[in-house]
Amino acid sequence: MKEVRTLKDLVYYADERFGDEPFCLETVKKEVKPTSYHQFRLDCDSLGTWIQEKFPEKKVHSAIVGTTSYPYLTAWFGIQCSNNVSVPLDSANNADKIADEINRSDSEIVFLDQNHYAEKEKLSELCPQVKYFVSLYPNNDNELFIGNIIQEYKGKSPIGMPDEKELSAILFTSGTTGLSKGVMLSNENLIDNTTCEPDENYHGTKRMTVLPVHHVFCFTCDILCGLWYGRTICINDSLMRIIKNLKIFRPDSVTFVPMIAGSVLNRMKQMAETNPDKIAVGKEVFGENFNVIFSGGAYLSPEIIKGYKEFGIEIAQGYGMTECSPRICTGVKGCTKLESVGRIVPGCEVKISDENEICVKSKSVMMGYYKNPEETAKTLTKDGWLLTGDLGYRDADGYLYITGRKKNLIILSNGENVSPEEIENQFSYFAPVKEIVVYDDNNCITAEVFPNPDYVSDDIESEIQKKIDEVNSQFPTAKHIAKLVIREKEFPKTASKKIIRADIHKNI
Amino acid sequence: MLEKLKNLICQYVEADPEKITEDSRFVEDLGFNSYDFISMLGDSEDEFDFEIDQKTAVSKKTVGELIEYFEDISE
Repeated sequence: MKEVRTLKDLVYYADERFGDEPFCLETVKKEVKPTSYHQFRLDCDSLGTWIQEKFPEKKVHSAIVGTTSYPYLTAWFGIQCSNNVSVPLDSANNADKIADEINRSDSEIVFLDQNHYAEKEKLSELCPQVKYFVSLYPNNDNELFIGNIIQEYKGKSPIGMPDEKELSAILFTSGTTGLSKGVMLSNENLIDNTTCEPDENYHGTKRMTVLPVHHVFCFTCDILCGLWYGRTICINDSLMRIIKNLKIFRPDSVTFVPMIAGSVLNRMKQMAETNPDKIAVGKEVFGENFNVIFSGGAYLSPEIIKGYKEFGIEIAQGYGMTECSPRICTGVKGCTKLESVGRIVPGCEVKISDENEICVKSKSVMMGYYKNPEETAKTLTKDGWLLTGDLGYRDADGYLYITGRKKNLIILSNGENVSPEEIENQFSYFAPVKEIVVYDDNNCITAEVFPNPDYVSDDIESEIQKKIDEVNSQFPTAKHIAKLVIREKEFPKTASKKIIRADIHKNI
Repeated sequence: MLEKLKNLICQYVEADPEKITEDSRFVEDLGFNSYDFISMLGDSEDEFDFEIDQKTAVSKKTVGELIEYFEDISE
């Protein structure tokens, strides 16, 4: 059996080891359609050959915009098989933001799903360096459709193998300065995180993938681990249909973020109003043989864990960050340390600084931020420690606990990281607002505003709300300001006139 | 349709059905979080037997706007 050092190796390894078994299942017109590991490798090879033919001389960065689907995964790994760099972008962003990240990642090929193909013209204008836009789905003009490329290059294989230290992917994450940062992950980073946990007979089991695939939590834990263990990936085609798809696929495990975990728990509680046998309700929703839910992306409260237990369902909490590919701690089934965020994964060194910040060193730690040495220097020390920005402690059994955040970043229960400054900056030249602070109040993004006393208006609150609606329209729903609080006094400030955020949070 | 939608809404948030109007905003007035709203859209597919385009539906801010979209796709 070959050694797995790169994502391309992983695709070949999975084909060699699991061959005709199902790599993924997806619903196509209400039918479940399987695709084998072998077919997946062939399709990735075909696409990889096309990419190498178009860019024979140099490394190329390729952005992918869309939700999880077989064509999406083929694009991701086809890029890898051509020894190039994948740039998965958040498909919930608007075209301007997508264009900005295409440009800042120097992408020259862009793969678009059916929801974004209509934006091709606009993206083409905004991103002049892009040579090819490829549709992941058949489209009317049929200019470049991934299915046609795969058909045309059927049976061909790309040449060469990347080095494990080479860049594999750039993933954007919210920065504290307001501008997203491109996390550079090497092949070694992603493979280390995929293979760091022992295999507990996952071969032949099923994992339903629910979270956005541009998040590394979903990508590593569902997709890469699926290839590594021979665990079939069941693609949930829409967040609208989680419970329906749980019934169709009957997976052994799923990955959730706390918001989804909470919502599904509420549905079960509601079902229990008509059927008081909670264990039966748990089985009705998750199936007879369901094993465990893994939760990550944000802190999961012990109440949710206890709530699931009443329904006979285990939920285990993990912890990580994009900069660490992402796992730092893994959820442990049956763990009784409900306040912890999981057990530190093997091979990951953790130290707690004098200021109680959690610092991490492992092969999973990123190469740095793409073309952003200043931010890299703030996050990665010269001797290789990743400063997580989270405060906490570890216990004698290797479990980690989070007590707060050093950086000013909102982590919503859906796992989205929101930079308050990114939202606040939208109000910089808006006359009715003198000062604004954006924070998370019980999972609700709140804008607290001190209106400009020199601005004359009959209804300043309405004017500010109108501006908020306009700003919201530029962001994905998860980042919308849901509440406006008007204050009568200026915000408390430091001697250098900076707003003291900690004081505002204390008042919530 | 408003009455059926009110029933679905009340399965997700603690709202008084009497006070839900076409002008009610899902997030600000009814207290939906983004996932509950998306999940309710999934239930609406079953309740009304049509297929929803998630991207279009999540852009609807008020009960009235969502009903208007539902009426469009059920025609």
